[in-house]
Amino acid sequence: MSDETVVRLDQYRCRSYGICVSILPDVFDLPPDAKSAVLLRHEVDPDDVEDLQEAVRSCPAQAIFQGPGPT
Amino acid sequence: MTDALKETDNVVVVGASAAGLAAADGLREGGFEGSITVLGAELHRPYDRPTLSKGLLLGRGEPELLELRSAERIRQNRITLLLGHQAVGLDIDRKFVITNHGETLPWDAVVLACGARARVLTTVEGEALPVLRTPEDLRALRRAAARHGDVTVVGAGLIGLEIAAGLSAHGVSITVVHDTERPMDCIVGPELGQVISDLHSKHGVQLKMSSAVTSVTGELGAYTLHLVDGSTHQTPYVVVGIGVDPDVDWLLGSGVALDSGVLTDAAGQTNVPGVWAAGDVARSAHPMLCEPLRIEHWTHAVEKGRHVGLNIARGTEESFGGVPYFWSDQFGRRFHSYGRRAPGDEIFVAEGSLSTDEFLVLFGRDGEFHAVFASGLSRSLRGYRKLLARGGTWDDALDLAHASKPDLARSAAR
Repeated sequence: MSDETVVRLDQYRCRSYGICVSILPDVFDLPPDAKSAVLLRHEVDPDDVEDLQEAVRSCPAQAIFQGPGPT
Repeated sequence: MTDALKETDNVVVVGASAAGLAAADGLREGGFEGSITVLGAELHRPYDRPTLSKGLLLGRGEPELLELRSAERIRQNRITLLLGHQAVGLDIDRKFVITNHGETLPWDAVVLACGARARVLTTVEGEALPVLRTPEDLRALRRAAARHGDVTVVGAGLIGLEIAAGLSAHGVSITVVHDTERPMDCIVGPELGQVISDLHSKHGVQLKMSSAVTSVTGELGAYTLHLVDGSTHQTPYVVVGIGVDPDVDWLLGSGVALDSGVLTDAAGQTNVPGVWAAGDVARSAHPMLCEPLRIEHWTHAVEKGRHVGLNIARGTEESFGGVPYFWSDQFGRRFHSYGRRAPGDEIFVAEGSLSTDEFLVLFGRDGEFHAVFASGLSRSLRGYRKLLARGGTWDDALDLAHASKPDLARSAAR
């Protein structure tokens, strides 16, 4: 898998705005009454990389990251 | 096509919020290697502003501001962030931004992303009534709501309604006074305006609609609102959410064309070469809109800011056609909307029902698809968002509605 398709979510920063869900509903979800969004998958389709980048930018809490984390 | 900037060049970004920081990031993303200076008028490190009228208003205790950019990321992107430095002048001949500290910052390109100020309502006695735009405003509003237990909100737009819903949750008695017949009328139209009106009424908010405020008299603890029908409304505390004005006073006489904001083309360029604008301050041409408009939405500021940064870095003049988007939290309901409803648009309920908590409606007219609005159901928005981005028609939108919900009667589409 290519690095740029990897998605990470910082559930501590997440404020449940849900903008990511409207952009990529197959990747992000906001279960009812959950304190934070959840990842349904840890990777996006190669066609959806631009949408992932938009989701990263559009998060007011800056809780979404593209690419594998520091190891 | 203008020339791309060189390594030795300077870009000054005026404004350190959503649009300004996105422009700085866009410059680096586009390969700009010169210096980037971002001026922030507020002393706070750049923060997540939408939460002021959403989570933080609902919350209790000391408001915790989330940083919009970590110090590490600002350092990595080699951005010089000057907080508490407000631009007070722009010299387009010598290419300087002048700050309130007396600095003259040279630029080869400048991005005006200084935002907007909450529109002020002043009492007859001369007191500017409180608004909600900054963390200081939020603290004052929460204190006042706790002390008085009774607050009047002037304005039933997004901010006014979020204040009403947020304070109601704290048991504060709320009256909303607004000039049009229904809340958010001009954004969502009469049908949804009624839904939102009913939602607030159900939660005990007193709505005084068609009640333009002609003047306010009195003082803290005892204000009187004088309404257009000659009646009055007494209240201990008033907070005002009647829109924002672009922060352009410092640009008067600079040579940059102003008209209800900084005028730009769809690429984000002003009439002055090297001077660009994005965010709430910009009134820009947009391929989806028939006239230049200020789109005062958070994600629009981010996307347009980045776009301007990319254009400057690459020496391009690409138009920006991002679909306007807003979201709002009211009484546990989450509203999302993409696109922009036009006056007189037809409304089509594609999912759910307006009498329930969850629905998704489409707006359009004469074969054009203009906007989608959802209460809940955020998972259904993606297809319509894509359709708006590629200029899909009303028929395309209806087809999508039927594809995702086969039992929807085609005849209902009229």
